[in-house]
Amino acid sequence: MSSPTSKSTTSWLNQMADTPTGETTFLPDPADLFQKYQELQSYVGWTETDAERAKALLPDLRGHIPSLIDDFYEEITRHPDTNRVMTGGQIQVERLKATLRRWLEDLFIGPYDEQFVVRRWTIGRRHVEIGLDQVYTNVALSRLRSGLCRCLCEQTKCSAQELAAACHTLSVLIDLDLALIEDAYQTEYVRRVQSIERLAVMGQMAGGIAHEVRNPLNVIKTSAYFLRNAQNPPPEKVQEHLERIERQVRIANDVISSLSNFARSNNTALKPFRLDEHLREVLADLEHDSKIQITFDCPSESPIVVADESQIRIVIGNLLRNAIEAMPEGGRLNLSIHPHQDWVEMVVSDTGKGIPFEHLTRIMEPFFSTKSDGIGLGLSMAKAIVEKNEGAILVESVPDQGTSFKIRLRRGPNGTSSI
Amino acid sequence: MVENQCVATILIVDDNVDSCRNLADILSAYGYDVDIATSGTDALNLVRRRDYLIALLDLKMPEMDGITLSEEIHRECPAIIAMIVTAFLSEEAEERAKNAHIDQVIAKPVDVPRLLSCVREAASQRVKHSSPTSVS
Repeated sequence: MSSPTSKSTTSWLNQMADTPTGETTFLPDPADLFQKYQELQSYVGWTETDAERAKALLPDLRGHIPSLIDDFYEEITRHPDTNRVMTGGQIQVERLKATLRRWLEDLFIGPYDEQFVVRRWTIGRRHVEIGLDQVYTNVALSRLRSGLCRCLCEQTKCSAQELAAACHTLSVLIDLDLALIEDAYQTEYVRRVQSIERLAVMGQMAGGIAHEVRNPLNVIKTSAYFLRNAQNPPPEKVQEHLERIERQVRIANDVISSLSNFARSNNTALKPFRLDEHLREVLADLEHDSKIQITFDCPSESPIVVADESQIRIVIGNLLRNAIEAMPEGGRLNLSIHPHQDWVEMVVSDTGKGIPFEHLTRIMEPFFSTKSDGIGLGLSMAKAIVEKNEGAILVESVPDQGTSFKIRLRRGPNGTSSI
Repeated sequence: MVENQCVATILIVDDNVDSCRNLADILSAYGYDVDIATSGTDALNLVRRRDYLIALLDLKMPEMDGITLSEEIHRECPAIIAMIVTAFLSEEAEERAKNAHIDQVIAKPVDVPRLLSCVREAASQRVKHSSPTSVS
C-alpha cells in the first residue's frame, strides 16, 4: 500500500503532463477514471456476456469497416464546422482513418481495462484541444452506430433475437465510449475556461492593487520631490508634507493588511464564543470622531455563536469602519444582537449617506470601491468570511438615510463557550 | 525650484486631496497658477469660471472618471489641454483615452520632471497657436 505522500505525487504526475508543444494537459487518476467507467457499465447493465458478444461481432463487421470509415470522414470534411479542424489535408485524414480503425477494433475486442478507459478519455480532451465541438462527436458516432447496425442487419445467418441482442450490445458499447469522451471533453473545457477566468481575476487584482498602492506612492514621491527641491519652504509646509508622507505610508500599509487578511481568511476554525463580549472588544478598539454616536443593543441573555472569532473580528471591523466613513458629518452608529432559535443576527446600521441602488448589487464584488482610498476588498472579504463561517450577510440601504448590514451566524448552545 | 517665465493656469482634479495638494505645491513653486478640485462637479464649476490652459485629471474618481470629465471639459472649453494622471490604465481605459480629447497619459507615481516637460510643451503650443500671424 502506498504512503499518502507517494499517492499524492503519483496523482500529481498523472494529472499534469507536458505536451510536445509545451502546453500543460490534464489527465485524472486512471484508477478513478476506470472506477467511473465501471460504475457506468453497471448503470447500463453491461455484462461479460455483452463483452463476449461484442468480440464475436468483429469478424462479421471487419469487411464493412473501411467503407464506414470512408463515410464517417466524408461527412466530416463535407461539413464546414468539422472540416475546420482538418488542418493537415489528406495526410491528416488518412492518419485519422487509421486511428478510427484502431478505435473501432478496440471497441469490439477490449479488454475494457484501465488503459482502454484512458485511451478513450484522451479522445475527448483532444477534441477540446483542436476545437471540435462535442455535438459533432455525438452525431458522428450516431452515424457510425447506424452504419454498424445496418451492416449487422444485412447478416442473414443470425436470428431476429440474436440481431436485437447484437444491436443492443453495440449501442451500449458506443454509449459508454461516448460518455467517456464527453466526460473528458467537459473536464478539459471547464479546466480551460477556469484557467482563463483565473487570468482575468489576476488581471483585475493586479489593477486593483496597482491603483491602491501607486496612489500613496505618488503622494510620497511628489512630497519627497517638493522637500528636496523647494527653496526655503516655510516650516509648516515641510511639516504638512511630512504628515502626508506618514499618512500615505499608513494607507499603503492598510492595503497590504487588507490583502493579507484576505489571504488569511482561507483557514476557518469554528468555535463557540459569546458574541456580545466579542463586539464590546471590537468597539473598544474602534477609532472614531466624537461627532459619531455609537450605541450597542444586546439582550440580557447574551447568545453564543459558532464561528471563527478572529475572522468575525475582521468582518465587524470592516463594517464599523465603513459605517463611520459613511458619516463624515457625524451621525449614529448602532450595533445590535438579535438571537433566534438556530441563528443569531447582528446588525450594524448607520445614518450615513447610504448606497446608491445601482451599487448595492456590486458592493461585495472584489475591488469594487467608490472610495478614493478604498481597495474594494473589505465587503467582498466580509461576505467570503461570513459564508465560510456558515452564515449569511445582507445589506439594506436608503440613500441619504443610512445603511444596515445584517450578519447571521450559527447559534451555539448556551454554556458551551469557554469564555 | 526656478520661477517659470510663462504663467499658465492649471487645474488639478483628483479625489485624493493629498495628491492634488502635492502637485499644486510643486507646480505653484514653478510659477504656475494652480487650482484644485476633488470631484468632476467641482472641476466643471471651476472651468466655467476660469480660463485654464491645462487640466490634470485623475482617472479613477467616484461619480465621474477622468476621461468622462475630459469630455465634459472639452464641451465647456475646447481649448483646455487635458492630461490624465493615473495609477492604473486598463486596456479599456486606454482605448477610451485614445478616442477622447486627451493630450497625455501620465503614470502615477508621477515622474515630476516629465510632468513639467509636458506642461511646458503644452504651454508653448498654446503660445504658438494664440500668437498673431506676423506681417512682413
